[in-house]
Amino acid sequence: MRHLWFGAASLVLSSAVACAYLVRNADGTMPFWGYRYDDVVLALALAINLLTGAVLIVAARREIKSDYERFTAQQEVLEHERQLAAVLQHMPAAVCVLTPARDLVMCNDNYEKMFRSANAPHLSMHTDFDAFSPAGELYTVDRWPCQRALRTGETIHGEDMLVSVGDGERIWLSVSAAPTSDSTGTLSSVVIVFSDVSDRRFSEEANTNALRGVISAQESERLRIARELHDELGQDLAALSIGLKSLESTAPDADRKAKVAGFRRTVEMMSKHVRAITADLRPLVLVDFGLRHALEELAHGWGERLAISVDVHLDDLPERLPETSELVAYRVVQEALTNVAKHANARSISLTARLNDGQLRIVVEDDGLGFTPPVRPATAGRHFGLTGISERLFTIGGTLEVESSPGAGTTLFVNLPMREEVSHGRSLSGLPN
Amino acid sequence: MGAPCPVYLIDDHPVVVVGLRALLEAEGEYHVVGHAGDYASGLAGVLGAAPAIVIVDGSLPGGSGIALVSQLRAAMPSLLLLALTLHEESTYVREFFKAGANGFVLKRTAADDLLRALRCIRGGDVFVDPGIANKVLPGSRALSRPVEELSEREEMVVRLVAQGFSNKEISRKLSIGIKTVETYRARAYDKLGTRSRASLVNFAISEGWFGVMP
Repeated sequence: MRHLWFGAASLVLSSAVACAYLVRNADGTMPFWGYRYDDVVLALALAINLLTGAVLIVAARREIKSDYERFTAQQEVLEHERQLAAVLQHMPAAVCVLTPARDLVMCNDNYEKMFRSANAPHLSMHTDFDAFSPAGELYTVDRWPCQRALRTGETIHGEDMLVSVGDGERIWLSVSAAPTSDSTGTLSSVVIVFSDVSDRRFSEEANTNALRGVISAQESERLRIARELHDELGQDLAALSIGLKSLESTAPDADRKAKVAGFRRTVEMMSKHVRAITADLRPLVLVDFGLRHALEELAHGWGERLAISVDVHLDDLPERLPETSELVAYRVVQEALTNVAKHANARSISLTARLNDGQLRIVVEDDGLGFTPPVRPATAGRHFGLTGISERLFTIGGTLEVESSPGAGTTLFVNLPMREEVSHGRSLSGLPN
Repeated sequence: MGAPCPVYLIDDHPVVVVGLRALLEAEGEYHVVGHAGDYASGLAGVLGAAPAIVIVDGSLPGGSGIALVSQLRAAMPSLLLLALTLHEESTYVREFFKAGANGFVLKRTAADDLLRALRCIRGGDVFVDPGIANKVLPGSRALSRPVEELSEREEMVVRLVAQGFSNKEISRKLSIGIKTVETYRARAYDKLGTRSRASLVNFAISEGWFGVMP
């Protein structure tokens, strides 16, 4: 801008000098072509001045143009920043950016609200809160997503954590952490996003509870019917059979004896049916002796029925496990063996179960036809006809994995946690504070 | 034939008791000296009546028939104890014999088998219902030591297989590919001469693998 003023000033000045010269010489005492040396010098000086002025004006124009461009660019940057800030501010999540030294670079109001209401000592120290994984394990500082992202340089997507914020209130947060690098490639900061997913988690939990309730109602009803059939009908039929035997031995003639014997065979057949129904409803061995014996009976029963070899190893199972777990485990194996019988065309089955590190691991293996497992493991259960079983497993936090390929048999891996039930709620009492 | 043999019945089902009494006394060979419908009175009754034979139901109010048999066996070592039950699973058979029963008869076929069973145990033999006698459970065959030693990697993989981990989990644990896991496993199976996880578990136990996991 200064260039423009200098240029203009020198133009004006030289014009003024030229005018003054012309005015002084306007009396006509000197012809226009009769000039003196100093006139020539003056003219040259004027010309140089004019040139300088022109150059300065051009330079000034350029400068103005580039100034304008810079200004526009700045405006754009500011606009972007405002947009970013608006996005950050109005995101339905708490967001913050931390340096590797755990200094807070920036955060949005949601973040401040979430952690200030909790009387956090430092805004940057969200890892000071007690947090638990869905499995109920406490997060140590090192395990927090931000720390892991900084350590490994990998982005962590949506990890569900139960965090206690404020006055004993616990919320479910889905936490993501993305490390960012500067131009030299060194980790410069980590962006952390917290979304409150309590509603989803709690409704999921309510669903699971409802499902668990339905299953347990169904199971207890089955047990009731099984007991009734066994204790009442089974005993009556046994009594009837014994009574018919007495009648048979005191029958006056061979014809009547044969008839009574026929009735007795019918009664024995009925007993057999009652027994089969009872065993299917709720195996009383499971109730009386526990999972190990019940699984042994089940596997060998199937082996006998299918005339295939059965290899069972359950010696590492404790005598008794929690009732719900025993029942779920039994039902899973029952369903798995039924599937082997229906589809696998196997020559042998192997069943093993171990309790290790609070995990009950059951493996059911056959050497039958096998199949190509679906790409998405989550649908494995459905594909294998184990939907009901997956649901049962899910209600107690268990998992099911299927490994199979055509011609190489099928292996089912069932994992059941054996810890005490942990229920997650807004006012959770089971976890440490 | 001498004096009838004194028998005591313990069963909570009155109709069964009546039927049994008729069956036993029809030939004059046995005499039912008493009966009880629950655990406590059964125990007291037998100790009081001192019969030669006791027929015990599987499940009784107040306790299981198995516990009663074991208690009676301890109190009267020479008593003949016959289990008479609706339960057909081999677990019940085994548990009754472990408790000290001399015979096991199913209620379903008692009409045919009871007298035979009584004769059998009076002769000093053990009686098991023929319908379930073949249910004697065969144990898993333990593998002998492999002819060819397992390589370190193969052993690591089959240790995890024996623990019930899936190929995917093993591949994650050892940071090797799933195909590699399958190869190691197949090779180890060949060396051990097995295809079954259960027999592998037996081998693992005989090798003491579960005690000192790396």
